[in-house]
Amino acid sequence: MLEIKNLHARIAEDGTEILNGIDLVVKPGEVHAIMGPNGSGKSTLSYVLSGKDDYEVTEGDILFNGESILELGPDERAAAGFFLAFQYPIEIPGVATMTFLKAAINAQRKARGESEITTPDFMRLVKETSAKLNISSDMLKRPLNVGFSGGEKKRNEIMQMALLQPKLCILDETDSGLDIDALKVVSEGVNALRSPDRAFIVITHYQRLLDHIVPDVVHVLSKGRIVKTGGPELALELEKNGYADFVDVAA
Amino acid sequence: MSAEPIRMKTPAEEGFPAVFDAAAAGLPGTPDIAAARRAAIALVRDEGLPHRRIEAYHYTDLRALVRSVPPLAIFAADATGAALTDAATVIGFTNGRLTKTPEALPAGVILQSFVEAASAGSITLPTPAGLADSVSSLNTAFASDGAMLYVAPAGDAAAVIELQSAVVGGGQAHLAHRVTVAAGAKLLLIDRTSGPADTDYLASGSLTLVVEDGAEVTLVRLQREGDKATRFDRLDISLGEGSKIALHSVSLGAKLWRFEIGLSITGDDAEAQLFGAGLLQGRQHGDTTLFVDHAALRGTSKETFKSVATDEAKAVFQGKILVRPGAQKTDGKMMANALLLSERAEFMTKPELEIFADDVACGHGATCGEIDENHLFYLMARGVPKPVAEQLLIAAFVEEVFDDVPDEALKAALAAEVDGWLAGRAAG
Ligand SMILES: Nc1ncnc2c1ncn2[C@@H]1O[C@H](COP(=O)(O)OP(=O)(O)OP(=O)(O)O)[C@@H](O)[C@H]1O
Ligand SMILES: [Mg+2]
Repeated sequence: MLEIKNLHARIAEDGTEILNGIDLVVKPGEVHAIMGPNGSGKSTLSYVLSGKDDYEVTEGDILFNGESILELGPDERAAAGFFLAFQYPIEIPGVATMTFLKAAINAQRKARGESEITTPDFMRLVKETSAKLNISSDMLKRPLNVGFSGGEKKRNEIMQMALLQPKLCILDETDSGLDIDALKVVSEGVNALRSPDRAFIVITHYQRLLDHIVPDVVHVLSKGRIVKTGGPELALELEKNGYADFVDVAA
Repeated sequence: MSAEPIRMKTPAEEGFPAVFDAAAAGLPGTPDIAAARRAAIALVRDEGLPHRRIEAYHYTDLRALVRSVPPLAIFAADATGAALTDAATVIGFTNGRLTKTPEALPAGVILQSFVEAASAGSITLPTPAGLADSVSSLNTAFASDGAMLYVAPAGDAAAVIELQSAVVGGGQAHLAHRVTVAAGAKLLLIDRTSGPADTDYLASGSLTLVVEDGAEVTLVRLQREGDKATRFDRLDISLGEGSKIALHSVSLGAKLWRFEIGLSITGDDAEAQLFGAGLLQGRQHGDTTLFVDHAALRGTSKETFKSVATDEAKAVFQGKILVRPGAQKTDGKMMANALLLSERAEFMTKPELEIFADDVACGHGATCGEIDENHLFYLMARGVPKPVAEQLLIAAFVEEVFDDVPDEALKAALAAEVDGWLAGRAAG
């Protein structure tokens, strides 16, 4: 499904290299966890995959179902099935949550050559999906993320994911900021979406999330490179010993 | 006598007096009104049009911007349309004449036309003092009709009236409206102007709004003149004790427009909320010039003006708050925000505070920026294509201007006008 080949990327503005040759293959149905110290490039990888133009790919390629997506804009990647649940979802004052959700759903349907969703269908879909994630109708009435608590923003991300039904879901520290109950609700939301034709890249610092969303593969990212890959037990090991065994922390 | 350097007049500076001389005999009013008109045009005849050395016109040089002057528009059949909201009673003007008189007016409302009032000598026209008053001068000289409204209290619901001004064919059209909202009365007034595309015409309007003690007025303006038009507006508001005004103004049309607002707070405990949006594209030039005069105790004024400019358009905002001696506990806040959508679009702003009372809370601010890249990325990462994402964000920027409009249909109509402008822009 996703094939990242020797990916190098830098900050467009000042040329600082952040990703230094990432290789990663994600197959349909798999869940890959990416862990790694602060500043190792995890969010950058998620942005580069999503097409944020603050970053430039200087080498390597990203293939989605065999085709390079480097020339596609963020909207086209989303229409192709990419979804990024942001580490820090932003507030957009003045844009009503419902207006935004409808615009997003319809834009993706249009890109796939489908007709627009009817208003009753849309309302029903949002109502069902939001209920599962404990998102109140009051929150839906507010402008996008405005005044939402940290945890509410994260739940809103997962609601959008559930509404858009993407093929490749990238979750950037969705667990941070969630209370224990919300972590369960969100994990259930994610697990409900697991399917043989959908893949997940789950970026996290904590084993706790991986108890709920059990990964097939765990990677350790350090200084823009994957330095270790293993099974779920790798996360347990990291929880116990930290990154010292894999990462040259002193440098 | 000191020797004045001789300056060549521009065609427009020659044009206004020439049009006046040809039309004066046909303009309504008593000899006193005719004299006021002559005094007003004498200013243009003697001093020409304001230019950048006139402070009030520093960013809007009419000598350079007004190229030519068409004759007065000829009589035309009524070209006004349905109201923006079903709740409104329409009073329609076409080419500067009253062409639609409502069969019935809302309870408490009395209407007289400007022609009737001027012929009876029951109104006076303002006497402009200098080039800074050029919008008023031109309106005084040429005003050919308007609505004189008196609104008396009539229950809890506000009277809803829409003044429509349409231009057909071209020419010049000038209207003067006077609205008095009596103590305790409520009015929702819509002032809507439009005209043909691709036509070099000129229209002006002056609206004098007297809000008496305890009265409440919401004024919604929609300016949608044709793309080659010149539009001058003068809005004077005076607020009596405990009265309220809310302005929601949206300007979309005209190649050149200037919207002057003079708000005078004369009664204690009055409240004003003024919101305006100017959306400018191509080579449009839109100027909002605001003067708020706090002359009473505990007056509140909140001014929020938003400009969106793309292509090579220019947006101007000049705003001044004056707090007179003794106007204690005044709360005046003025904000000007601009969103520039292209590198060649410009925003020019001049905020001023002049405060002669010591116990006041006054402030002003201005921002000028582009669409936030992070906002754009967030929307696009959800599949929303760039033009649609930009539309959502621009609409979000403007939305505050009419968010509080009390009539839902009216609010939706304004939002639709903005969306139409945005869709037109996206389509190129
Ligand atoms: N747009 C940017 N401008 C400047 N520096 C950047 C930018 N994006 C990323 N960086 C830098 O690149 C490095 C990697 O950042 P990134 O956000 O990818 O780390 P991370 O692994 O997600 O960290 P965390 O665990 O703290 O979320 C950091 O040193 C960061 O400061
Ligand atoms: Mg991060």
